Amino acid sequence: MASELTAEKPKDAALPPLDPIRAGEPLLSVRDLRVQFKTDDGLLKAVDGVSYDVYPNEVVGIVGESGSGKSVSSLAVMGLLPKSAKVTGEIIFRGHDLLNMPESDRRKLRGGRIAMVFQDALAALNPVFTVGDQIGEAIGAHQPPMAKSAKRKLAVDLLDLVGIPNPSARIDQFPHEFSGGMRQRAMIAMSIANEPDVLIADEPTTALDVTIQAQVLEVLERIQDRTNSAIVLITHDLGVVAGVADRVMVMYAGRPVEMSTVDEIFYHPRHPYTIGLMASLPRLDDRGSKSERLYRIKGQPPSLIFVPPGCPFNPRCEFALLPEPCATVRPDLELVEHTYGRHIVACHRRHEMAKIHPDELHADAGAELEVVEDAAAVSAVEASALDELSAPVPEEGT
Amino acid sequence: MKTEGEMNLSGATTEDKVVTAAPDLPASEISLAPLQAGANEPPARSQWNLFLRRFRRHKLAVGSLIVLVLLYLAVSFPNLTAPYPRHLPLSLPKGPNGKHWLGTDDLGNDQLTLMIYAAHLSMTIGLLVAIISTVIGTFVGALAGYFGGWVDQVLMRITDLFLVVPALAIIAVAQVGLSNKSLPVVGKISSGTLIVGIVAIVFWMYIARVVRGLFLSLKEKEFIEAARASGASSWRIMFRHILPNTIGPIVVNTTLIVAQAILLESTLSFLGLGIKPPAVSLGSMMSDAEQWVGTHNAYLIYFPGLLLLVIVLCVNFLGDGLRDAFDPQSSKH
Amino acid sequence: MLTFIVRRVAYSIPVLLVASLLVFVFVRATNDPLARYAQSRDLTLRAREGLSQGILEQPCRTFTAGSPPTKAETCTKAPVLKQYWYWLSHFVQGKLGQSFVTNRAVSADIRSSFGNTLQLLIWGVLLSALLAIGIGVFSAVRQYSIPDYLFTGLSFVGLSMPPFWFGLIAIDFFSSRLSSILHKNYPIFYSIGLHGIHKAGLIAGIGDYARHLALPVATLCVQIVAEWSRYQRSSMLDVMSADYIRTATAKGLPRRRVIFKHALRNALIPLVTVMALDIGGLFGGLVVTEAIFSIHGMGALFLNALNNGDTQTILPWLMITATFVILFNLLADVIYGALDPRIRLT
Repeated sequence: MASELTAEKPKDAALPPLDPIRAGEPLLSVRDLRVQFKTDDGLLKAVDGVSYDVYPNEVVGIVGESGSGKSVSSLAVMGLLPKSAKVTGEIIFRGHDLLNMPESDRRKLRGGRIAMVFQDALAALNPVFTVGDQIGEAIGAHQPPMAKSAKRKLAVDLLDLVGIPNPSARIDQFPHEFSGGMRQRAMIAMSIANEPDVLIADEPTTALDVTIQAQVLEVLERIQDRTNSAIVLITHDLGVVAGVADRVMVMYAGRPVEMSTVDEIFYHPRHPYTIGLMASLPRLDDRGSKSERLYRIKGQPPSLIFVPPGCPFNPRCEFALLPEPCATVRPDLELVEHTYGRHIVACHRRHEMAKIHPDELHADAGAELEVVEDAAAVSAVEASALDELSAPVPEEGT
Repeated sequence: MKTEGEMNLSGATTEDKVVTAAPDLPASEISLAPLQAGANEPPARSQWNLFLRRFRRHKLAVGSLIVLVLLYLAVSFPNLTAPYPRHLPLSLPKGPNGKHWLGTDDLGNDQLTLMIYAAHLSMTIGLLVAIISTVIGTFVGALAGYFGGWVDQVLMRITDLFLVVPALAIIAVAQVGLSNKSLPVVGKISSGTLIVGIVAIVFWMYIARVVRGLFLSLKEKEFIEAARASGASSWRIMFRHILPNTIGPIVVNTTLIVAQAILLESTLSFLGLGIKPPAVSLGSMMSDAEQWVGTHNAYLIYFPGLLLLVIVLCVNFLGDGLRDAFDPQSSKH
Repeated sequence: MLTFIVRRVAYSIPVLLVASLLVFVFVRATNDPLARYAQSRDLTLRAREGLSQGILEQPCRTFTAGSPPTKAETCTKAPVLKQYWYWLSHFVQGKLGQSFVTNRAVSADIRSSFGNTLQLLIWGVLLSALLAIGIGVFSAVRQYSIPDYLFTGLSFVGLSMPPFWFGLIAIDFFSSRLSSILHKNYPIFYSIGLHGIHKAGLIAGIGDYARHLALPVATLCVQIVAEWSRYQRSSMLDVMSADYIRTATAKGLPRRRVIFKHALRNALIPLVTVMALDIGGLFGGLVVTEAIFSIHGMGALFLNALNNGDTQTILPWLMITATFVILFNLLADVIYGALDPRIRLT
């Protein structure tokens, strides 16, 4: 079954010639991506300068609250945003800028080389067609015409691969006849039908029970082992990222605030927002037992039309220096010292934050932090941080 | 409205320079960082002001309302506005000319004058039908929705009947059966009054169904529970607490009934089942003129129909604007 | 499926019974079937008619009175429920009585009219559905384009126009003026009846049929196309913003396939319900259309019976219409179930 799946790489008849995939070179490079919508109240900047790379065979986690731009940025990569969205920047996939590509070529990449798994599989699967029909359609859209029976066999194999029991019977059922976890698996089966180079999974586990969540994540990992796809995993849940991702980008108010390997982020978080997210994770060990209650980041995510001046996180930040500089100057992404791989952070107090451990947030740690007068000592490290925004994952971290 | 303009301006300018966002943003309108909240809030806008603002934005509806009001005023005083007396000496029909702008009908009467009288009758019938059916429909619908029970059952069964038997047929049967007869209580009535009564009897059920649905869903809401818990009487809850929240849909549907009633009256009158001479409506004018279709006197068909089209079109535009203003969600397309 | 249909038919019987009672009482209350004997000097006729319709009942009394002496007969009036039962028991046996207007059996009148009406209805519904779906999909896909605004404007006009006026203008223009413009001495589109009087070959026959049918069908449809196309447009717009449309696009399907396979199929589901609800209204439209175009169908039969006080025809007309509407609703439910796998028809 598996050999048939991987034996012949599906080929699109008229795909533009893509660069070969080489280890150590990014498959997908996003540079200064901006997505804006015109609204009655003003310009809504859903994504405001996002840059990241995705390398072959890695899992990149993008973490943030709803409205942080994480989903919009990946919809921009897929080319699925409505016409009203103004998308600028560069999205380079295997040597081609997707934003300057004719729609017909982009369509061939979409679902073929770059595929997406959506959050709510019940809404994302068409209610009036069978699961098999919808998977078969994905195959048919990118592979040379094949017999109906062959297509059906492929679809059954895919359902089997994602762990749906009795796939040859299930294939003729409608989405509403599947359970939540099954639907999500079917959705994944559909998205990997053409063995994409990049698989974007947008909150694939959010709508599911915890046990089912684990199963679905496990399916994603298995898929990756088999197909060597790179996976971009979008989630609001740091816990999900911890288990699966190699590298993590934390987003806030449409822009990245911190980015590094998963170990670096978990052991040495620098941005107060990341630290806050970490502190709000429930833990099974006793480290967080100082206080019974979980930490909550105070306040609401900002409006993307009226983003707070300075650091967008400053109104909610326990460590903000107000008003100068946090409420006036917007911090850039800068390189900081790291143990488990390149680490960039957008925070005025990035060096002092090294001393803060998420657990301390349970106690009122914010006020005790000292102000470092001179950060010049580390400025050399920061110099070229933005140019090399995201380097390959160093092996030593994992 | 002045504050509106200022607000939009400040919104636009701050957008260009995010870093120095002015503190006087409309904090109540969008979720802002807590820092900026409360600095300079615009005065709290009541539902009514919001409604007016949204309605005014709907140019077509505002224009339609103006046209309708002016037109109704004009046709309400035929002594001032009609160019000729209602009845002129008998003569052959003549096409539009300098003396008679819209020509004369087959009895030699001035068509523009006739149309003024006819439009007044048609519009009045539409208005009366809408008002009567809204009053009755709201009352019955409120009772049925709030209390349920037999009122509800009877209402639903009768309205079900109108889903299977064509309303036009029912109205036509009643119209023919009851015209020129002495009725109980009211005695002998004019064809116009009869048509108002009969059409209203059909249309009130439509409003009642709408109001019933609204009451059914609203009576479960928290603020009604709260009113009930505080000991308000059912009567008070129905008409003080729930009814104000149903005004939007009711007004919209009342407007649509005006349009429907005008169309229905014209159709009945055209079929000879509605307005009878000496009264004249736009529909009966066209009924009289049907014989001239295909001849050079066909203008007798075109003008009354055009006026009717303009009236109903304006009412429908108005209804559309009202719907948008009451419920912006409904108009996203 | 079969159980569903059987069940639905069984459910509609009480609905029809209640409808028949209400309709009967209503018609009796508003129209007196014996009114035309009011001026008659021979009261025997009135009694005979009343007895045959179950309005009057025995015992009857015969007497001779007046000058010149007339033979008269008076009977007691039956209570309305008894009248209803009399009428219903005859109706279900197919005994619809005789129309005094046409002097034919009412059942024969209805049979001969129904065929013509059915032609109008079927072509009308078919054409309306096709046009409305086409316009609705086009407008939704090209939302806020000039054609979209044009169609939206036209649909407002269509909804705001009395259909009979449209019919009159259509006759005036397409049946009369167009011929003189084209210098033809025959009408391009006919305004009377459904067939020409001369026998024609197959091709010419179809052409003749189409030229007869075009204007009445258009008159019947104008309002319904306007309404359905608006409905289809908004339903299509709703569907187009659904998640599964995004998924279909994300699969790399061509836009045309996304629209016509994924979106249209879902957008048709709510339209079916609206179409079913409007069938009753179409019968009302038939009255107007058939009157203007002199078509001997159900609508004309109704109008004729009504103007002559022929309740013998009106009562079965209303009941047959109601049955037909219920059947159409059943058909709509079956289509609905076929379109939406989430609905299980049991």
